[in-house]
Amino acid sequence: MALVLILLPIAAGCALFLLPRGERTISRLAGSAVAALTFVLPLVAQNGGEFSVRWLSRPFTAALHFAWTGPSLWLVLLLALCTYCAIVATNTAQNRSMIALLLMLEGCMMGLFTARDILAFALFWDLMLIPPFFALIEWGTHRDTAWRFLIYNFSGGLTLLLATAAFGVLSGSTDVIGSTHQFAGSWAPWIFAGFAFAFAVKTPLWPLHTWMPNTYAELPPPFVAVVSAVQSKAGLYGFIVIALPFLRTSMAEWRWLIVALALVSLLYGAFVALTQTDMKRIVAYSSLSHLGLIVLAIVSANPIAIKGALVYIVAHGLFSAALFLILGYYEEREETRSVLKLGGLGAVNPKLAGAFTIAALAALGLPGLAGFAGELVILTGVFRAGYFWPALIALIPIVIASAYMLRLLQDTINGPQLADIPQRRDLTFAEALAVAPLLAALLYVGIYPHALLAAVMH
Amino acid sequence: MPNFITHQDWLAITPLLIAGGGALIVLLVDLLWPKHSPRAVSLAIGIGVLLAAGAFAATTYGRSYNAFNGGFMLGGFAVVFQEIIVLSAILSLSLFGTFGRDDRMAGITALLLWSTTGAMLMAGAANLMTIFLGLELLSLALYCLCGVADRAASQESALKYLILSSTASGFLLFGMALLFGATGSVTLASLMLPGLAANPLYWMGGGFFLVGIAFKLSLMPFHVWSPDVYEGAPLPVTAFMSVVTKAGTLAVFARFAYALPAGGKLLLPFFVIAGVSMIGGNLAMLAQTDLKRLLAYSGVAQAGYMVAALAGASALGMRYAIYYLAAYMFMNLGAFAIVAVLSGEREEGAQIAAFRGLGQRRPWLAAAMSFFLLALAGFPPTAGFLGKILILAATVNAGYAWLAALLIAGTAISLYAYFKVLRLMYDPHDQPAPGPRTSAPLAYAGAALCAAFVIIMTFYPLTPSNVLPLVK
Amino acid sequence: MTPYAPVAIFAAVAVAAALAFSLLPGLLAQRKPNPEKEKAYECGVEPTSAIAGRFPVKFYLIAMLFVILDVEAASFYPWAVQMHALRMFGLIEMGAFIVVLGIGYAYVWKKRGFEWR
Repeated sequence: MALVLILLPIAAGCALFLLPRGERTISRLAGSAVAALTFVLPLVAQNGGEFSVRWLSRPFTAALHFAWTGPSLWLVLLLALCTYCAIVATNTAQNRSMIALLLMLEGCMMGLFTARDILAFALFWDLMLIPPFFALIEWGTHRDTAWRFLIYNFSGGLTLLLATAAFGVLSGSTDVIGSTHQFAGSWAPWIFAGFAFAFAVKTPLWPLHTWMPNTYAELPPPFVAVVSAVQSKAGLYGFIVIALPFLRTSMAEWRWLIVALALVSLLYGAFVALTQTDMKRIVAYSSLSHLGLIVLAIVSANPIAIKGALVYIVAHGLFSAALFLILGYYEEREETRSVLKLGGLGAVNPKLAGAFTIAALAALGLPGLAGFAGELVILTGVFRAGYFWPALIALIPIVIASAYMLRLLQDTINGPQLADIPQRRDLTFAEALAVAPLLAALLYVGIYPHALLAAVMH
Repeated sequence: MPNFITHQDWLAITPLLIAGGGALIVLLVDLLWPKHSPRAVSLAIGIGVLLAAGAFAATTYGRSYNAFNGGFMLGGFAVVFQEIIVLSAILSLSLFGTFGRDDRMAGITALLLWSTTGAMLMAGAANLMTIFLGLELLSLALYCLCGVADRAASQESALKYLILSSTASGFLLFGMALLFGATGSVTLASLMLPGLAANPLYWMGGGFFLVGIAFKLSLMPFHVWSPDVYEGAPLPVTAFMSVVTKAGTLAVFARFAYALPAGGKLLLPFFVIAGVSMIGGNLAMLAQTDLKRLLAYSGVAQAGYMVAALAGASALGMRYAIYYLAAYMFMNLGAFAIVAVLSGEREEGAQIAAFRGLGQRRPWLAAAMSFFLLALAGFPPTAGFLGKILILAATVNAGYAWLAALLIAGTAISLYAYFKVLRLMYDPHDQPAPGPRTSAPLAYAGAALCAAFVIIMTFYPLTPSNVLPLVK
Repeated sequence: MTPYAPVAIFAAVAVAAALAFSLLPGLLAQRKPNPEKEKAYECGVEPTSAIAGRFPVKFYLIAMLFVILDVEAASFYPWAVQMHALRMFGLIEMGAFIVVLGIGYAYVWKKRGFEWR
């Protein structure tokens, strides 16, 4: 069952390449149907759809073992939803290639999030870098961005590989995700460092974030929605399902370093977001700041903070996907991403501006939307874990978040109309179809976070 | 004395006799019926002979026999290496569908078969004399094969290979002589004698021997011949050389390394060289403009990976080295098959620049090439990925964590080089240059076979268990 | 090691002598160069052609083939000496050798390797 989730999108992606180059409608319909199917499937079959086949028996046992239980389920749902919305929002001359790559990306990340074996996790970790790389090559403006993305993330993938090999050799098996046996020994801190480096690059954490702003700015909107909303969660997910259960003591040894890096990311991301003029970059840096908060929550190892982290992972996924899609709509209409060249757009296309406002308010943590629930639970947990000062420092960026998000809103939809604005169309039906599920989910999780919290109890 | 060669001895070398004798048949057929499409006939006989040799070798799998007074050890180790050698010979021979002059095909096929025979001998060689015999048979035929194309570069490569490789053979032979002086015996088993470590001849001999081996494996800094020779030699010969020479030499090295008392200090510098190759080979790849040179440097690094698996002389390490060798054969020969399809008789298609815009001109070929390059870089889901993790596991297990770290660093560097080619193929901003459209059904079939095995090996990693290189 | 000591001494003496003979003139001799002295020949005819004479390339082929077949024929000799000791096995072995050699010979002949073209 879990195998369907992985292979169906990949097969569908390959099949789309058989369509003629300029094809637009069929690929969009078929792509969104496949993505919707991958959303429905885990909901219908909630038993986890386990699939397991022995892979290696020496030097350590490994299995092609996939299932969607616990935190996996939420990430699988988030991924399917974001992919669905991204595919619906795709509307360019190269629809076919973009949707095919999006589906392949979904399949690879499904493998990552459902993997119960660290080796399979590492396999999909590397594999999921390829579709965004080709997207950057194809649609990015600077070639170096694609290279930087790949080299950074593959370096992380290699330390992950080394750590996996060492973990497997020393513990005898990598088919362990979901179990909770502690791994100790003189090598443990180094194995943790290998894992943590990979996760920190992917998340990203300062100072390993330098690939991120350009990548997010140059990826086409549907792609960046999936990459920032879901792919960046791969590192956090890795921390939760690998580092936390197996290497908790080693993590405690490295705790202060990670807390420090998380706090720097929090502050640095927030302050840099204040100074940016490129809309996508503002959101990219805000992402750096928000994900730093999640890392802080995970490293505190407090059960409440972890729960908050899971809620916030979903919340951040929802609002960053929505934000990037909406920014994509603006970019398509105005042909610029600079806030300096925009203004007063709210009067021209009010529906679009409304959607933008909801997403931005969720990002700055307005109560009633998903972001707030996550932040609140995380801060409570981090505080309870005894991290008084880090919790206090983490409050600062939350305040700054209001500043840069409101500035983003103000510079674009409010204020005088700077550009010579011809008749711009408002949100079309198809575009609304793409962002509506995300905004609805934001509201739902914001009003009733218990639905998520109850599910991730285990 | 007259009957000292037994029935068993003959059986042990039957695959070699089939391959070597088959070469004579190829020549005879060409002499007697020269008019009948010499290329097709020679290739058909050549591939048939190799299949027969491989099939016969396979029937001896699971048996263990010490033929010719310990000169040739038949066992799981030798058979697995022989199968790899035969298979890569078949794949390389299939690339000859579009290369070389028709009237030279019989000679080329015969030389290739003899070269294969030499490598197969090395796979089972367990004393210094058979090792040298196999190595020279392999090399002598290769010198000629390098020069069969009517290009100055091809002839230059033949001469270069002859001179440099002879030098290496000299080192090897001198090392063997000193080892013989130290132990008083030509068998590798005598290296297990106690008290050898006190004898300076043993250290000198072992050192010279390993220098010769490092040269044949093209480990840095003894690799300087390989890029030039690979570039000049006809493409199928390069493909053959890149795998078969490595397979034969790796077999010899493994037998030597595993015969030494565990943790032999003699080997430590060799593993350092392997580490240097992983970094240096991958770094040098960055500067290449010719795909054959690029693959030559890639081979330098990959040989380093295989040697790293043998660090610590563990049983697992041997299995993973063989696994990686088999994976390398499929990845590398697959890449060569694609280059063979694309390049014309003058091999202008081997220039990296010729791959510009291939993704638009011939999307399937470009996809296949990307697949093989990604596999060489160690991306999943390919045998290169699993092979790397197995080697990492083996080296960490044997206590050589620094080699594992170097392997990771080298792989990170190699990524850029492989992706340089990929980027060129999928560059939408570059004008596609018109290229030759050759039809090469054999090469297509070879590439498809390689791709299938690269994936199958990832999910069904067959690592045969009884492959320890015995010496007595 | 002792049995090798004379070899080592001999090698050392040889290297030392060679070095001495090549380095000493440079240190001891007086130098008074002039253009006439710098010439390759101080008397006689100026050299104008290549040092080595040139053979037709055909010669090398014939010479190589001759050497190959000649040397291989030389390996008959040890067999002939030991013929009785080796008995039937030796005879068969030699027969196989001749067959291989014969095929090579026929190949060269058929490819017109012996013709002076």
